[in-house]
Amino acid sequence: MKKWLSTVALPLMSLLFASTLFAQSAAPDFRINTPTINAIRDAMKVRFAQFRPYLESGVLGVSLKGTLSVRDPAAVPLDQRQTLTRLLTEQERDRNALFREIARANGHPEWEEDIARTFADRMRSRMDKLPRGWWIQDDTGKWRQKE
Amino acid sequence: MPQTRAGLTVLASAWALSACVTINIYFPAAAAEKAADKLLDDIWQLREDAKPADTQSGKEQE
Repeated sequence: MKKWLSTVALPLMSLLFASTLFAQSAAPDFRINTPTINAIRDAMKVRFAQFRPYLESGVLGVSLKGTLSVRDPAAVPLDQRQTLTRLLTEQERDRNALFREIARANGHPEWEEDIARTFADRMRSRMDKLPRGWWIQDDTGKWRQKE
Repeated sequence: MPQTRAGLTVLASAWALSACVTINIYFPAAAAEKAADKLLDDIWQLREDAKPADTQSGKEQE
C-alpha cells in the first residue's frame, strides 16, 4: 500500500496537478491583433457609419444578440432598400468572419461559438451606453427606445 | 487495505480526468470578454463617457 502510494499515486497526482497549473498560467494572451482581424474590424467600423442615420431615425434597432435589425421594413425608403439590405448582409458576413478569424488566430477554430456568445453578452451589457433615442430589444424581445 | 487502495485509485483517476478536461477545453472567458469589449467599442464607436441625448445626427467621430 505504502509502496503504491509513493511510487505511483503520489507522483501521478503531483504531475497532473502541476500540469493543470501549467495549462492555466501558460495560456497566452487572447490575440486579436492580426492583419486579418484588423482588416475586418476596420471594414465593419467604416460600414457602421452608414448605419448611424438609420439607427437614429429608428429604422434600425439593436437586437438582443447585439446585431443590427430592421425594426420596420416598410419604413425604409424605397430607393434605399437594396443598399441597406446589402450593407446589413455584408456586416453580418464580416461579423461571422471576425469570430471565425479570432478563433483561428488563437489556435482554436472550435472556439468560434464561444466567441460569438461572448460578443453577444458584452453587447448586451453595453446597451445602456448606446445613444439616447436608439431602439433596443429587451430580454423578452420587445423593442423600446433607449432613454 | 484493498479498499483504501481502490479508493485512492478512483481519486487519482478522477483527478487525471479533470486535468485532461481542464487542458483541452479551457476557453479564456475573461480574456475573450476584454477583447470583445475592445472591438465592440471600436466598431460601434462608443465613447468612454456614455453619450447623453444628442440631436446632432451629423456629429462625426474625429
